[in-house]
Amino acid sequence: MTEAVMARALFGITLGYHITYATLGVGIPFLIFLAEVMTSRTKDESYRVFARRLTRVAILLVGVGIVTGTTVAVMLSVLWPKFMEVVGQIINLPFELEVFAFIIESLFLAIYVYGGDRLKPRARIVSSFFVTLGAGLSALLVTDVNAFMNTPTGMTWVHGTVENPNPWLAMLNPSMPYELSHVLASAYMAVAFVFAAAAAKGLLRRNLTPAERTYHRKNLTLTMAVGGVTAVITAFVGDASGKMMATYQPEKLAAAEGLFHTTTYAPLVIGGIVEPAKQMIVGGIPIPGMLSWLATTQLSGKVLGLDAFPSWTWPALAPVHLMFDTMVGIGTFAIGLAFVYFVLRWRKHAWLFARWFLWVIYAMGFLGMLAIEDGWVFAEEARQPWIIYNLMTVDQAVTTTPGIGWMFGGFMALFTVLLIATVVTLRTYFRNHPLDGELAPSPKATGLAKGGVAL
Amino acid sequence: MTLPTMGAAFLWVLVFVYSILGAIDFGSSFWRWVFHLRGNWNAESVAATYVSPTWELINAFLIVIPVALVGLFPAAAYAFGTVLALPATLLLILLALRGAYLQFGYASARFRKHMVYVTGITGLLLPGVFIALLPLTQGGFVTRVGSSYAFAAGAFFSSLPVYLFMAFGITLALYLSALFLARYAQQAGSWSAYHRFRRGALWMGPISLALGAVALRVPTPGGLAIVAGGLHSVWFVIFLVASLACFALGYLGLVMQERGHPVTKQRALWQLGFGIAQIVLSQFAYAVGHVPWLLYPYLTFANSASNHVMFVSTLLVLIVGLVILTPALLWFRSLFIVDAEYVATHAQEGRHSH
Ligand code: HDD
Ligand code: HEM
Ligand code: HEM
Repeated sequence: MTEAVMARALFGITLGYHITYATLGVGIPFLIFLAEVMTSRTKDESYRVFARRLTRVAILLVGVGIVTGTTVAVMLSVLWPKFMEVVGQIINLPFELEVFAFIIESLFLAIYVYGGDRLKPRARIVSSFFVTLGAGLSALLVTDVNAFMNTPTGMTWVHGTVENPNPWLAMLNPSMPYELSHVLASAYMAVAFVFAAAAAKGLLRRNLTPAERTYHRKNLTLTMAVGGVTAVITAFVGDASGKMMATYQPEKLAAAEGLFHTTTYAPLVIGGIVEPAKQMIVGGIPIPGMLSWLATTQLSGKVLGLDAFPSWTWPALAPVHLMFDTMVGIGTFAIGLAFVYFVLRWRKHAWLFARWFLWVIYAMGFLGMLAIEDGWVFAEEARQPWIIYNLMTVDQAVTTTPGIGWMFGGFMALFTVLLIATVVTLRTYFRNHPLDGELAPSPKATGLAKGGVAL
Repeated sequence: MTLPTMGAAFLWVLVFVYSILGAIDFGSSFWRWVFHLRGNWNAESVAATYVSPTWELINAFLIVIPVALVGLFPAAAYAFGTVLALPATLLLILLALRGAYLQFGYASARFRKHMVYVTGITGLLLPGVFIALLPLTQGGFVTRVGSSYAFAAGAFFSSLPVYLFMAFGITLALYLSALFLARYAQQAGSWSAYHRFRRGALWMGPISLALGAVALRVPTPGGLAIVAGGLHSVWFVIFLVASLACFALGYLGLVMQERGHPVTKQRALWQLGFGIAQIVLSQFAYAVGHVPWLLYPYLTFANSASNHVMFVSTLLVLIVGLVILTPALLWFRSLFIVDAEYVATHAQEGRHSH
């Protein structure tokens, strides 16, 4: 492995790791907020129990998310110093504003957690809302830097230096609206399905008390509703991102779809292996004219193919196409699953709580998170070899310091420890605080009052 | 004041604030570990109460520093990014273990003991690792090769001044945190704990002072001579003398107390205040000796500053943001940190659980 490849692998793994915690850190506060709203609307204490149990998970994951995020922030400067030098001249504002979003998030999380049962319902709703807002903003602001990397604007690039900078314009780059809304919607979607999976898993357990069963069923319906709605939004915005790509990053779209030749009536090929040597996709299912329609809303629209670009700027074609289709496939499946769930529910159909159906929901929890990881790797990989599209390549940005191998080893060991400890902590916590006890009338038994110290 | 100087001053303010908050945070978890090992639960629970609710906000402050550096002095961010690969890895791993184990420990009883150990040991090491950045910026370990920089890691890690700085940083953090925790114990009315921390401060104060004096006098090969350079400036002398005076006053106050006796709130506050003033003043003196270098002898404030637009926006955004959020932070602080009742009840609770 060259140092550049090693640096990319290290950074990719670190971000992939951070994004797991960060996505959960964005989505869980939103669910807590919804559960608090439901509690106050329905006066149903079981939503309060849900909020409380979610809070436990949130505290832990946000804490570890902060740790991994700090790692990413420093690593960005250490692995890509040339890139950060450019960032500092044009697109540093999102990173600066993000810090304040973090502060808002941890401040209100502390208030929500320490306040605990002492807070009035309205105060709980307000504070959980601000946690949601802070977490969402931190995610969106960093993502904006990524949007800039895809479609850099707000400056003139003169032989590798930034001139006439306009940092605010750089923030409002063409990718921004699409990428940010897609990231936020997909985070809410994936996390909703994670907790739908948790509810399904709960229902799959034998010997449930009636109280536990209703608790899980209510949560399942809530999370499936959130997941279904956000999945539809994710798909719509994703489609809009595709159209944006057709205008601003046509090469990325051509790579994602394995389109070698510029054509009108371009087909959409689902699946299949892209073979650069043969300049075609082997084994996919083509839908004539569909790609033109997706990219331009006209079947006769012209879509640029890879032949419009020098081949040294093509990314790795086969993985990129498969990753894109996996993301879209999971999104489509999620919409279908939520739709089926609500039809079954409306019809009061027996399948609703059939074990196989619950297992499918359980699997969707993992697929949602997989789609997040997959979507990011796609977005980064399909921009190769550029770190800033059309301006700076990854090889130009990478550090000249030797010894990345040591860093790599150290961080892998660290992440392994953190991952194991996170899982063990969550398991021990829920084993020691069974749902049974929390659903019982005395809220004091939950340990959250004392858990207030838990930040 | 020129624009780059203003930016540098702002950066220094951030470093001040972080170094004080961080020293207290790191030192406290070390003291907690020590008293845990010794079985002194009074003192341990006072330290534990402080350690828990603050680390996330302190960490947010840490993030502001590199972010500000990138926006204000991108050329310096580039140089430090290149040079710091190895030291930053070390630092990050320690910080990450510390943050994560705090979280694990509070979430699950199973990790509580691991937490005390991990945070204690990292709390001891981290101030040393952080302060090692000072001799690095003083030069001698970094060379420019073409448009890039190379770090002489071997020379750095085998250099005596670097270790002197590390020892200085560690003892200083222990001194400041002991003063801080003494004040905390005073608020909780826990006198045995108070005198434990007072004794810690009595030891650490002079040791850190001596180490600091030596660390600054031993020159790094090819590096900036802080004291010799600083002595040309009146301000350097003024700050240094004021700092020493604060130390003497605070220390005298500490010495002139009877063991086991209660002290007043004002007294505990003054002690802490002198400690902080001493550190801030000596940092001013250090800054005077270090100006205008960000990385000696290559980068000054002026030659690494960002373009005008970015520089001004960065300063504005960060200053306005901090000004808006400071009231919220102070309110938070009043809720959880200086709320005497909170301190008392939570320190109590810790005591029962052992
Ligand atoms: C739950 C996760 C998830 C799901 C189901 C989808 N996406 Fe997605 N997608 C993401 C999660 C994601 C992401 C992780 O949020 C990405 C990575 C980078 C980004 O901006 O968002 C992304 C990027 C991304 C991009 C690339 C933008 C760029 O690189 O500039 C496109 C064109 C789409 N998506 C399109 C879609 C479509 C048409 C979907 C149909 C249902 C879809 N995505 C489902
Ligand atoms: C959190 C979600 C993200 C994930 C999972 C992710 C994933 C990745 C992966 C896998 C790589 C390696 C790509 C390769 O090997 O070619 C990479 C590279 C990179 N990403 Fe991202 N990324 C994310 C978000 C971001 C954001 C928000 C930024 C900028 C602020 C960013 C900046 C970079 C940079 C600078 C590189 C290195 C250069 C490159 O290989 O393109 N990433 N990322
Ligand atoms: C280059 C990319 C990134 C950098 C430099 C980065 C940096 C950071 C840092 C420094 C923190 C800790 C803040 C603190 O001390 O409070 C953090 C936390 C966080 N990050 Fe990232 N991050 C990156 C990518 C992302 C992405 C892509 C997302 C979401 C899609 C994200 C979402 C979050 C959230 C929500 C938090 C708050 C903690 C949590 O809820 O887990 N980050 N990040």
